[in-house]
Parts: sequence; C-alpha cells; structure tokens
Amino acid sequence: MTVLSNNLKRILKNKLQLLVIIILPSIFLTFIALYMSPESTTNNVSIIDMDKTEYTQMLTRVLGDKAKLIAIDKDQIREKLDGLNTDYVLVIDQGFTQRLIEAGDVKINGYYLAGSVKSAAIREFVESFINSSKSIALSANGNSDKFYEGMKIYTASGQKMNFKIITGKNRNSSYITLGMLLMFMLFSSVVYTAQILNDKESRTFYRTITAPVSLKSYMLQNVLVFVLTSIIQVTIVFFVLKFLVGIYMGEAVIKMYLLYITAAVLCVSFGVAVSSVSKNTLQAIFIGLFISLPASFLGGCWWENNLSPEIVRTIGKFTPVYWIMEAVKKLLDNSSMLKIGGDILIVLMFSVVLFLLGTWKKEDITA
Amino acid sequence: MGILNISYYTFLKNIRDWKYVALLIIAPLVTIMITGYSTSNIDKHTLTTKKVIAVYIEDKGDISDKFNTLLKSPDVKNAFDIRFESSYNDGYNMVLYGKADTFIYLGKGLSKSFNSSGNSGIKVYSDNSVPAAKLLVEGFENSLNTINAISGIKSKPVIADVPNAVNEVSVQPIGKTPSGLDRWTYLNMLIFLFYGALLGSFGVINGVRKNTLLRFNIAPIGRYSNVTGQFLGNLLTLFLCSAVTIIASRLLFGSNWNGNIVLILLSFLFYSSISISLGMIFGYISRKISLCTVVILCVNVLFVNATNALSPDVGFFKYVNIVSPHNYVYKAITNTVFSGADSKSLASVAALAIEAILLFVLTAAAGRRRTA
Amino acid sequence: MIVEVKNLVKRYKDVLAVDNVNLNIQEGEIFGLLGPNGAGKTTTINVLTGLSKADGGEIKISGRNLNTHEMEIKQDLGIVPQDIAVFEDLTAYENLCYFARLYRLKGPLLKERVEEALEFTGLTEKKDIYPKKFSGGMKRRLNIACAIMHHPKLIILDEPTVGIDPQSRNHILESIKKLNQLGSTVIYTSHYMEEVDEICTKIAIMDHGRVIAKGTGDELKAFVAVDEKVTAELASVNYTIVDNIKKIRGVKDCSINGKQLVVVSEKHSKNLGSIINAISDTDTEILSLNAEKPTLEGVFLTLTGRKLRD
Repeated sequence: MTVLSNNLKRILKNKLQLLVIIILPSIFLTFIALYMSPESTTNNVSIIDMDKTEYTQMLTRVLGDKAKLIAIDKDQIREKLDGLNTDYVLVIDQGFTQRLIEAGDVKINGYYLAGSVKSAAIREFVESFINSSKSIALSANGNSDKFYEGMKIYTASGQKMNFKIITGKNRNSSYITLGMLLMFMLFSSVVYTAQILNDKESRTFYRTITAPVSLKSYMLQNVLVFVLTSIIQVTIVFFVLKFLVGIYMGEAVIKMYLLYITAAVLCVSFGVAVSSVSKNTLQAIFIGLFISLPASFLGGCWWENNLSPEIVRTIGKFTPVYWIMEAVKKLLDNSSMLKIGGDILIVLMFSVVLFLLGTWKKEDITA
Repeated sequence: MGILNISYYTFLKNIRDWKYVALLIIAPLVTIMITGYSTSNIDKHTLTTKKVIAVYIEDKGDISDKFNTLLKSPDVKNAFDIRFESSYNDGYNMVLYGKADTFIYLGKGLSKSFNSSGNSGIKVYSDNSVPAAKLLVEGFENSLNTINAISGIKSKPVIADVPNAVNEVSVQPIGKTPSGLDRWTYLNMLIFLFYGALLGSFGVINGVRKNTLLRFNIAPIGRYSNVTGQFLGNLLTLFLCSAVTIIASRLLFGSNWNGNIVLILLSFLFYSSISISLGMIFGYISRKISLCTVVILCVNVLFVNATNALSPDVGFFKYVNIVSPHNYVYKAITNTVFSGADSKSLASVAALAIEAILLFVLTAAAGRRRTA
Repeated sequence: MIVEVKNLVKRYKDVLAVDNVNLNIQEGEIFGLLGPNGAGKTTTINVLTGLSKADGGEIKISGRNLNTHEMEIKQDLGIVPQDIAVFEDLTAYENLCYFARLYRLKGPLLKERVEEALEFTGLTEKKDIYPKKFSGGMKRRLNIACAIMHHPKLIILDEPTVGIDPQSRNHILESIKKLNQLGSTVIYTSHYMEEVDEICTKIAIMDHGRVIAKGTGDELKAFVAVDEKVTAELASVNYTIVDNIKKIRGVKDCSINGKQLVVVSEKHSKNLGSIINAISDTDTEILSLNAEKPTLEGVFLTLTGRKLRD
C-alpha cells in the first residue's frame, strides 16, 4: 500500500489542485442545478390590443397574472410564434368591447404555432374568460355599467382552487444536473489519472516497477487513490447539491449516492484506460475530452435517452454512460435499488473491461 | 525574431500536431451529427408532447359533471394526456413519482359544498409552480364565477351558447427558428473551440517546462513579442479550425449559416481569441495543465448551459451571459441567420471584440513576467 | 554466478535490439557494459530488471529464473536509471522513504537506512529540500541514494554520470567502488570508456545488440593488435635522432614533424627507456613526452572500424 499512501499524500499536498478538482465542480453544478431549466413551463402571451377599453385592459391584467406578457407588433405574429418568442397571440380588433356589450356575439382571433400543445391551457383559459364575458354581457342586456359591475364581481370573487406544489422538485433539472456531474466526473478522471503519465514522464513509474511491485499492484493502488479522490469529489458535490442547494435526488438520496460511487469507479477505469493508451498528458486530455463529450450526448447526460432517436439510443447502449443515466432516471422515479441492479452490473462490467484494458500487461512497460 | 516569426512557428508546431487539430475539427462534426439528429426529435417532443394530468373525481354532483365534460372536450383531449385515477393516493403518487405533471382532485361532496360556500374546493397538486393544468382549472372556475357575477348584478342569467368565442388560428412554421441541428451545430462549435484554449495553455506550460520560455526571455526580442506571437499563432490555428468546421457542417449536414458571413466569421475570430487568451492566462497562472483543463471544462459547461440555446435568460444565467462569449456568438449568429437583424448581431460582435481586447491585454500582462 | 544471461534476444518490431547476448557476472564484480548509444545496453538492463520481456533466452539472477521469481529477484536489485527518477513534489527524505518502503523496509530500520543513504551520498543536510531545487549533480546522487537503501545484492547503474561536473562524477565513481567493497555486485553501463576502464573488473563491449568482446580491461586490450605510440616535443631538431631510434628494437616508424617526434612501436616492445636514451645522447632537450597505451577506444575501433562516440 506504499504507492497508495504516497500518491494520496501527493494529491493532498497540492492545495490548488485539490480546490479545483473538488470545490469547482460543486460550484458550477450548483449554478446549473439552480438555473438550468430544460424546458420552460411558463406561457408567453402577446396581446395586440387595438380596442383599448376598460374591458381589454381587464383582460390584459388577468392574463398578465397567468402568463408572461410579450409585446409584439401585428406584423410580427408569425415570426414571433415561429421563433418561440411567444406561445399565443390575441388580436383584439377596434370596437370589440362595444360589440360585446351590445350584442354579446363577438369573436376574437387567437394565433398559435401549428402542432404545439404548449399554448393549449392558455387557450382554454382565454376561451372561458371571453365566454363568461359574453354571458355577463347578455345578462346585462346591453347595459354597459351593469356589464362592468358584473365583470368586476367576476374577476374579484374568483373561485379559488386549492393549489399545492407537493414535491418542490424539478425532476428535469435534477436529471440534467446529475448528467452534467457524470460528464464532469468522466472527464476529470482523465485529468487525475494522467498522474500515471506524469510519473512515466518523470520516470518514477519505471523506478517503482523495478522494485518488487507488480504492474497490476501498482495500477490497482493508483486506481484506489483515484477512486478515493473521486468519492471525495462525489461526496462533496452531493452534500452541496442535496443539503445546501436542495435539489431533488429521488426519495432516498443514499441510493443515488451509491449509484454515483459506482460511476466513480467507472470513471476512474475510463481514465486509466485513456492514460494507458496515451503517450503523454496532452494526448490523454484530448482523448478524454473527445470521448467523454460524445459519450455524454449518446448516453443521455444532456437529455433523457427516450427522447433520442432509436439509432442514437442503440449506439448509446454501448457506452456505460447510458446505463448510469438509465439508473438515474429510475431513481428519480423512485425505483428500488433492485431495479437498477442490472444497470449497475453493466456499469461494473464496463469498469472491469476498461480497467483490464488499462492495466493489460503489455509486452513492454517501457514501450 | 519578431512577432510574426514566433506566430509562424507556433502555427507550424500546432499543425504539425495534426492529430489534435484534426480532433478540433472532427470531434465537433461527430457531436453535431449525434446532437443534430437527436434534437430534431427533442424539439418536436417539447412542443408536441402532451402533459400528463392525473385526475380523481370522488365527488358526484353538477360541478364534477361539468368538469368531466370539460376534460373530455376535444380541445382538452388534444392538448393533455388525462389519466383518470381510482384513488386519491394513486393520483398523488403519480406526481410524487414524477409520472404526472399535475394531479387534480375533486373531493367528496365538492358540488354540494360549492353550492353552499361558493368555493370550488378543487385541489391541484403539481411538481412545479406553473403547471399548465392550473390554467385549465382556473378557466373552469371562471366559468363557475359567471353565475355569481350575473346574480351579483341581479340580472336574469343568460348563458351564451356560442362555445367558441375565440377564433383559433394555427400558424405554420416558416423556418425562422434555429432547428435542433442548427442550435447544436453552433453549440458544439462553441464547446470545442473553447477547448482550443488548451492549445494556449499547453504552449505556455511547455515553454516553462522545456525551458524554451527561457530562451525567449534571454533573446533580444521585445517584452511582449513572445506572448503576442504565440497568441497570434494559436489564434490562426483555432480560427482556421472554426472556418473549416463551418464549411464542413454546411456541406455534410446542411447546417444553416445563411446570414452575414462577415459577422459570423468575425464573431468566431473574437471567440477564438477569447478562448486562446483565457487558456494562456490560466497557463501562466497555474502552470499545471491538469488545473487549466478542469477550469476550462467548468467554465465551458457553465457558459454553454447558460446560452439562450439551452436556458432562458433569467436569474444567475442572465449575469453569466453578460460575460459569456458563448452567448454573444450564439446571439450574433442567430440574429443574422434567422432574424436578419444584422445590427443586433453587430452589437454582439462588438461585445465580443471588447472582451477579446480586454483578455488579450490581461494575457500580455500575465506573459510579460520574465521569471521562467 | 550472480547473473547468468543465455542467448538473450529482444526485438522491437523489425529492429533486433539485443541479439543473442550471453553474460556471466560473478559475485563481487564491477561489471562494465560498454558500447555506443543504441548498442542495446539499456535494453539489456530493461530486460534484466523486468521492465521489458525478452523474446528469447534465459536469465538467472542469484540462481533463480527471472520469469518465475520476478518479485524475489527485484528485492535483491537496486536500479539507478539513466534518467533521474524522483518525485519533484516530494522532498529528498520523502522520496527515499517512499522507495525504501517499496522494498519492504519499515520502522526504525527504514529510518536508519534512509539516513545511511543520505550520508552515503552526502545529502544529509539537503534532505528536506525538494529535488527541483537541486543541482544536476545532487539530483544524480539522490537518484543513486534511492536505489541502495535495501542493501541490494546487485546494483545496476545505467549511465549514472551523464552530464555532470567532474567533481560529482568522481564522487559517484568513488561511491560505486565503496558499494562494491560493501559487498554489492555492480553492473555499470556507460559509453565513457575511461570510467569503465577505471572502475570495472570485467567489461563487455556491445555493438548493434551483440556482445563483441568481453574480459578484463587488460585482456581486452591484449586481445587487439594496436601499435604503441610515443610523441615527444623537442627543444631543437637533430635528424641523427631518427636514425638512432629506428635502430631500437620494436620500433616500426619514426618521423619528425616540426619539433615533434613521433615514434611508433610494436605492442609490448617496452622500449620507452631506449627511446629516451637515444634522444638524450644527442644532447637534445625533451620538452614533453607522451606515451600512448592501447585504450578501450582503440579496442572498439579495431573491432568495429568505428569510434565509440560516432
């Protein structure tokens, strides 16, 4: 265990490196967890009001409470809808209020992007509001004062449902944050397993191997150091995300933690494999970057796998990232440990294969 | 040896390591292929996937009947995936376990108590603060309010029997939005060009390690020649990579670059300059390649996630985007390509230029220290 | 016999780096492995230390087969690699502790041996300093210290004096002799023939992966036919000297070039006294005199037709 204690000492000795590897990811993941919202749930509504009466202002106010109002011009309707700047555009013609109060028989134009269901709820809401207005207008019998009185009662006394946010979680944001964490771990493992390459460059690797230490034992001890570092990293990130930021990680955070410990083992194996095929640190870092990023896309770190096309998903299955993210998904949906057992097994198998690849006793250690 | 000589040799050294340069071009193309292909699916998904709403109606009365009718209306059925549950717990768990967006519960005796208390008492549970189903219920409650309002003005209630007060017009897409492929083409280029910063870091750190920096320091050249020369050589490398990637992404995948090409190239030129400067600054400060890499990775992922392509411009990300070169490039491209708003695009390019100059000054300051 | 190498073959793709090498090293020897760069010395060492796998042949160290008893053999080896192999981010003392532990030293014995190694290499006062602040010679000494703490039976030094000042070089050569006196067998590779000639009791000369000659220094020199050459700087020139000298036994040629007299004799002529007498007899003052003996350089030149440092 001499190699282990020595290398651990060397890592701990370097304060700056420790800070960057362990603290930095926590900070940047916190920001992503807090502000990343993979899809916006707020409705953007635009009202082009050419009537400008008390009634249209009332409608604007009510809608302003329910959605974000986006100001646009009439000739921008198509462009803004298509550019997803707004989800729904209401166009109120001049004289609309007048006709409403007098006859109650009016129509208003509402525009939305074909095929989009995002505006459905706001459409329903506007429809019910105007239908109600029509009923009040008809009941007021053309009397403008009575109509406005009715509208005031209508908007003031509202039925109030009992609305409650029960989980306070934003599952999608949790998913993305955990995905980013995995991608980061995958890559940063290359950075610190490159220590092996540093030792090769400083020749201390060869010196160690000529001592009565086998290559397997040397690699294993190094891997233990890296796994330990990685576990410290995961622990701190989990502590920050769960207890300081408070992001949702499934019902029992311990399950997710255990999954990420498995991921730590995988990442280290990946790093070891990359370091062993690379000739120097530069090469290792480049190979690490250019494998971990596509793998994170294929494996579902940026979006859930079931959204990917069949072929991407199939290719993704050949990356361990896919199986970790599958397990993440299951844990976020509160599956039991048993249900992710298969995924964990596959991840561990990948780890073993990568580790063997990295420590395969080559004909020549010196080559 | 002048600045141009140093930049020439830096450039030569870079392209001699042709494998790395090839990676800087090929890797984004590979990821553009993966992400472009995947996201065409995802964009459609976000717009067209119906939100799941769990509903449990325990009440038996007129209000429940009306609500039931609303849920079964074609409009609602087209827009939402309504799941009728058989118990309160089932519905609640649907939300709790992330299987439904919202759970709507109409409790026992709701119609009865509504008629007496005037409160609908519909319970809505959600996993976020702005569920679409909330609006649906509010719309429904509005219709209930109508009766109150009418009786409030002491009129004989006349309920309008025209169901569609709104003339809904669906607008066909006209291709003014970046498609998934376009967005991820830009994003992948931003990601990988930012990693090009490592070229700068490696140059600086290797200079220290292999004592070539020392040679420059003792050579009869100006204080800033070495740092400027290296900067220009790396900038040229990275900028050429970006130009090649633009052409290749266009030819291979048909990514949309149909904007003002001068603005696009300028934005990538400044972007490359910013990333090289950052790489060199980190290199001078830390003198450790592993630290540079981790810092660049973190900054990169944060900036990419903060761009308008992936997140709305709110909260902390709004402030990130003030400094993020990623978002300026993204805005510069999308403005000129999709909105034809070259003046807005120019504003972003100007911001990039200012940032590039500031960072270059910092690089020069960091690189002028003569200690080897 | 502490090291027995039989028919060792090592290939790197198409290049035959070591070609049928046979070596026998007796206990207590300082065995020199001499050859130009690329001769196969380091490859041979790498195979001996288990860093490279042989493609053929058999290696026994202390009577044990390297393939089957690698770990036990490594415990008996001390290796000083050609490149300095120490951790820059650990102090000299910490470096020594680490390498000592690798050889299973611990507790008070470890401390004792580390101090001993520091003392031996003259680094005791620098033990808490990081090697990056060391001079080249100090680094080389630390490099040696790391290899000797476990009192290895066989110490292998791969060009330990490359690029250092004469003083440090002498220190290292003296240390090697001392280690040998303390009971270690030494394998010493170098392309500096003077060093090998000075300290080695047995020498093997390698070229193109093969051992082209082996024996003691004198044996090797005797093995090749090389003329002896005497060069004398004279105060004045007297041509009768040439005639006189030519009459001396063993002299093959004598010539005068300006004030320089060059005499070429057969090997082992032992005629230096006669030559000096012949000059003195003409009352000519000898300003300087240089008698060249056969060297290993000459041996190599004879064997390969090339100079050692080509």
